[in-house]
Amino acid sequence: MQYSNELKVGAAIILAALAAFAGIRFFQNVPLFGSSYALYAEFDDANGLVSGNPVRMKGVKVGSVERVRLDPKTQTVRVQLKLERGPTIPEGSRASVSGISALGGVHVSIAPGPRDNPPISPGSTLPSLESSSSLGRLTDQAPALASKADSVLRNTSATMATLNRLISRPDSDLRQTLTALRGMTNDLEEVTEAEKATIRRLLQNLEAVSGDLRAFTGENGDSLDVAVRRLNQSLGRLNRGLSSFEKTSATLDTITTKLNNGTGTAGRLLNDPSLYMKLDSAATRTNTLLEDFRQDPGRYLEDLTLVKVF
Amino acid sequence: MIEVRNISKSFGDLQVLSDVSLDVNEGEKLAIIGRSGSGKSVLMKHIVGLLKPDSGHVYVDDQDLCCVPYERLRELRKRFGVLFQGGALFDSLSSFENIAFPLRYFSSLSESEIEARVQECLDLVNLSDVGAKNPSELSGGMRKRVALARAISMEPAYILYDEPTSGLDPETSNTINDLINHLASELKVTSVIITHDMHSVLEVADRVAFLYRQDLEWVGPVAEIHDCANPNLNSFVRASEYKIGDSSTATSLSEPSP
Amino acid sequence: MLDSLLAPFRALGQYAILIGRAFASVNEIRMYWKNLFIQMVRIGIDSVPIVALAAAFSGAVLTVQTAYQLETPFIPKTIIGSIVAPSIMLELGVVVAGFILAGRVGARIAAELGTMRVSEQIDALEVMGLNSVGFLILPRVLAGIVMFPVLYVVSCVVGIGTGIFTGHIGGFLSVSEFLEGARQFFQLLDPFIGFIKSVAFGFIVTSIACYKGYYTGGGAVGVGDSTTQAAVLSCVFILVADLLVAMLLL
Ligand SMILES: Nc1ncnc2c1ncn2[C@@H]1O[C@H](COP(=O)(O)OP(=O)(O)OP(=O)(O)O)[C@@H](O)[C@H]1O
Ligand SMILES: [Mg+2]
Repeated sequence: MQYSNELKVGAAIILAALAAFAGIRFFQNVPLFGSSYALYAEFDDANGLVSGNPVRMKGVKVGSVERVRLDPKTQTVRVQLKLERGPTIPEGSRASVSGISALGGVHVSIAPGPRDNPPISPGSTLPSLESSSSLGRLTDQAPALASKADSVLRNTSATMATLNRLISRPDSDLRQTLTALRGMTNDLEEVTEAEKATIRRLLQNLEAVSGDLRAFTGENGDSLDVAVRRLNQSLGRLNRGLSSFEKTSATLDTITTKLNNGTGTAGRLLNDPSLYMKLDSAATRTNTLLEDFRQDPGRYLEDLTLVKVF
Repeated sequence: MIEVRNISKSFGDLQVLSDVSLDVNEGEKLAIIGRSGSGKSVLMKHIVGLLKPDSGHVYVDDQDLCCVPYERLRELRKRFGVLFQGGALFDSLSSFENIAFPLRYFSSLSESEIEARVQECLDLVNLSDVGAKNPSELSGGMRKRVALARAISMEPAYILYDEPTSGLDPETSNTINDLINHLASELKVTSVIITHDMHSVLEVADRVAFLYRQDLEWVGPVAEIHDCANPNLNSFVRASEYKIGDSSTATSLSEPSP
Repeated sequence: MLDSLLAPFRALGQYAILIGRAFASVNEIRMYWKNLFIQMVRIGIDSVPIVALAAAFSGAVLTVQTAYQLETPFIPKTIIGSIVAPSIMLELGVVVAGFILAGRVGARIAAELGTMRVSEQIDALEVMGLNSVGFLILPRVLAGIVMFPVLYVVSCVVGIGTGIFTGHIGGFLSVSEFLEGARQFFQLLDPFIGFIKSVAFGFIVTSIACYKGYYTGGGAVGVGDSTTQAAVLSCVFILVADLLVAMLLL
């Protein structure tokens, strides 16, 4: 069959254009007709990273580096990543630059976050693995901590209510002891109510501001790191305190139940020094902790100058 | 009407034409004769503006070829049919396509009309069945005739023939001469015939121009060619006579055709 | 003496005017439409096999030699891919194609037009009322400009393809190693510059050949001279243009 020249030429040009298009997409490593999305990452040091370098997650290539730019304001390296649609990157993932540039093996590696986290949304910024390690861990723990504190405090409230009811009964021999206890628990309740909000706000803020925090890591990374570690410790302490308070509350619960049921007497309670001691010391410890926290929450965050940001 | 006014032309050191003036009147058949290398073909190329004179002017229908814009020159050229000495057939095209070439570009004829016209032209030059052949498959004389067919295919007002009968046998020469006469009488074509062939001159020409060296030495009606005072023309004519003198056609030279 | 010194300038001026006239007749392109496609087929499509052949060999040789030169344990093999692919896209694919076409297309055009000149075919075109410059030169130059990029794509695809294939068959470089290296250093600028070069080379080869052919003088020897000069000048100016584009765009 004889084809006209026009047809031959037209077909050749179109084929060439298609081949060029496909070839370019191929070498840009973009799936031919699928799409990709962008993520950003920030590093202190690009380590010779250039556009085209691969992005790997657990050693598997998931995308490529699109652009590397030094942010003149923050002096951090901002890297645009182009990721394939296929493998999802969970929220809480972190990026780092690995490999040695002289050997051409430089790449961005992504340490995936917890598996259950929802996939990260396109356009967001992956925190760097090194610079935000302590803060990052803190941020990760924050929600858990918050909910824990919440449940403990709710528990406490309930216990207090029961205690209150018990104490208001005038025929009780325990009245004297328990009046003192009431004084303390009122205090406790007050504190916990107040602190509940504070802690919550604090933790929420922590989450929200962690991004801003990261911006400062360039300048005072070391001191911040220390600060954050301390904050972490403080929160750990609070956590421990809360859990011991939880335990105490549980004990209180038991006592109250017994008292309620009438199965035990005040004498038995008073004759059981170990129980009393336990209650006392737990209550005292909790009290001191909360008192302490109420009076000077800043102490727990003392080195965290950024608290002013909140 | 073609007017050549005082044109001179040289190629490097070689002066080919000097101060040549010549008129070609509407409807006439002018023969330009002269020895080989006397500048006949060069003169012809000036008439269609392929060469620019060093000095002087060429007017075609009162327009100076040296000064008209190129687009206008192209329009003027479309009034011409030119038979080149070497034929100048497009060797990448078949004979048919060669003849159809100007028709395709400059006429509004349909494909079937073009076909008919090409066949008509081939018939006129006695080559009815070579349409499919390439120029390289043709003899020299056939090529010339295909070129002639191409020159006349657009029915031009002026036809310039550069040696239309050279290389042809006497019989075919006569066919060509008849064709030239036919085109002139039927279509009122103005013809310029460059030739060495005195027989042809006497057959077709109304007037004769004689180029010698760089000069146009003599111009006059064909009847006066034998009793002119120009010694060079005389020897040129005599040379032809001598050549043909032995043959039976010698007598025809002494009685010029009307 | 002065005359021979001025000759290149005169030639350049003559060339520029001729090509200018060719492009000035672009308004008549409809008239030369058919001719344009004939030239596109002759210059472009008919050249695909020879360009592909040259590209195949240069791609294979480049891969083998790069691999040979980088044979140290410290350099990852992917580097071979990151050298071979951009080299072909940026330089080798287009320059090798350019040289091949300077010979094939340039010589052909010069011989064709030269023969037409000495056998008065160009005069015959003119006398018919055609613009011979527009009719003969414009389609060829346009065909060169349009089809050289097509041939460049062919050259790249075949060159890189054979490069990959050679590494695979030779067993010294796997397909994915090559591709990873090639992708790692891929920049859109590389094929873009190659494309610009191919357009420039297409123009250079065809316009020089047209100039040489159109102004051929003196019979068969003249045609021979024009043909040779067209091929040689095209190659020289391809190198010059290659350098210029590289200096301007890199
Ligand atoms: N393009 C050219 N360049 C240089 N010289 C030329 C050119 N054309 C013609 N000449 C010279 O001009 C002179 C006249 O040439 P021309 O072709 O007009 O001769 P002619 O009269 O047609 O001869 P013939 O009868 O053999 O065809 C010749 O000496 C030729 O060498
Ligand atoms: Mg002649």
